Amino acid sequence: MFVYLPVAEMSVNALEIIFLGGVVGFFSGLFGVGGGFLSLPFLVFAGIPPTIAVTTQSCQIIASSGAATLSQFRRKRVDVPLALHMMAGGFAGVILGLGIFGLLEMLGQIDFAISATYALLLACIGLSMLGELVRSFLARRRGTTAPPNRIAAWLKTLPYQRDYVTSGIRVSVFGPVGIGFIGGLMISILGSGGSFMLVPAMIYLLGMPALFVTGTSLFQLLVLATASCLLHAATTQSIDLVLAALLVGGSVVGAILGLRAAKHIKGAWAHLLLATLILAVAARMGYDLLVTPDEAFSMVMGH
Amino acid sequence: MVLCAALMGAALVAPVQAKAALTLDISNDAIAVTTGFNGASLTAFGIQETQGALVIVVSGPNRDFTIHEKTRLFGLWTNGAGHNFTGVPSYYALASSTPLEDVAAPEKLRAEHIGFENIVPLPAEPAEAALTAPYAGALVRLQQARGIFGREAKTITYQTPALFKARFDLPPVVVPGSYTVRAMLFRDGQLRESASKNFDVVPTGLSARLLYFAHEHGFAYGLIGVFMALAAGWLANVLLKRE
Repeated sequence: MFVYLPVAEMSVNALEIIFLGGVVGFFSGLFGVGGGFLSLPFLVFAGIPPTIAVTTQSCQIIASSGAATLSQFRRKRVDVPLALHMMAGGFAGVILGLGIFGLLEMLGQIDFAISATYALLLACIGLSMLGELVRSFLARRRGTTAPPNRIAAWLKTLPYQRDYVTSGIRVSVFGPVGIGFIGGLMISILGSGGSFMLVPAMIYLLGMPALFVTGTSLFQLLVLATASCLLHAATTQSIDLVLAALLVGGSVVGAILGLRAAKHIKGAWAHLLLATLILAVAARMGYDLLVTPDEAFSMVMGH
Repeated sequence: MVLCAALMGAALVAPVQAKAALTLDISNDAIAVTTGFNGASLTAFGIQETQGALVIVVSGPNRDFTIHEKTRLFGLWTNGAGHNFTGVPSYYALASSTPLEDVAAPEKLRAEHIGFENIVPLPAEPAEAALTAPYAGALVRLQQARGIFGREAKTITYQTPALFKARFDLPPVVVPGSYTVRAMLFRDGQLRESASKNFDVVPTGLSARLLYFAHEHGFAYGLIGVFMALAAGWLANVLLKRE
């Protein structure tokens, strides 16, 4: 079943995109990650122009984070002031990211920048997940302690120390603002919420209790993805709503299946599965960058 | 009265038409790009009154393209120096009754944009043209790989010695706008007659409305996206709670 994407000016197999949305939704339901980092590479493999894939992604992030944020609020697991500070940094990141995106597009480097950053990020994430699995496996055998973090110690020395009552931590305002800034950059350039980086950063650098991390990061992600979606719609005009509808529709079904599967799959096995998938995608993207291409030229529409 | 006037009009026009040795028409004046669009086909047909080699070129609205040569930077393949091309047809297909090398001399074909190596306009100065040529060649190759330019000239079939017909395919990746079908009749290596027809590729229905909305009311379009996503997320939440 073919569907024409009006903004991308191409037609795609709708079932393929729905299936892709479903797979991404499945993993986001299974692990509580946004899944943007997985769907973007696949959209690019499917021939969707990277610029359109990145911006349209923000709709999927809104859908997946929106539902979860609601239930986190109901359970009072959102540290609102901390989320607001992250958003402040995040907005700056989104706007700077929009500028960088435009500049890269003008230079004709946007597709290279996206695949290179993704290959690198995914390889890091995949390897660190594997490392984490091995470490937790070893730790269960002899019991170790986490090494002290240098950045966390440095954050304690910065000015504007503030008590975040909900999470019960005392940290410089620059901590959340800085983390939010990186998240904002990632949304507007890479079309990924960056939860896989923000969540560990909030736990290890800010020392937040894990109980509040998910809700707080989801809430700021929801607001930033909305901002990115609206800004891209108004400026780059590269959001394709037909593509967005297919992706979001698929991911709703996938998320439900993923949450159901989460009850049956053992955590370690699920993580191993995700790590393998991530590394495979990273290898595929890295391969294209490292191996001498068959075609020595690439084409960009416009200047 | 009206009929009478029409007949008189026809009589006046008739001598002029009799002179034209080439008449051309196409199967569609407009191709609608609906949400379910997956390419389309178009037939060009007509009458060729005299002997000669016939060539039909279909070209889409002009667009600008940048071709980058991939270069290695710190071991990674990046987009290197780029070359801009302006006014390159976004679609190109070709049909001919005889092999192109028998139609006319290469420079004649180039002047009429006949042949895949003649799609992209090159600078007049030979030195500059030589520098640009690899990029132009890559543009054609890449568009052929995407299925947008044809790979070879299609054949023109003749029902009678005078009645010709050629079929063209428009790919699913199609640029909306005005397309031109041009038929050219060559004899002794010279262009003798030509005729052309236009057709429009128009987004219709939902895709047209979305495209218009995206360009004219970007912010509202973004809001629709946000609400759609929120509604889907909420729906998932409700469905999950029911389990």
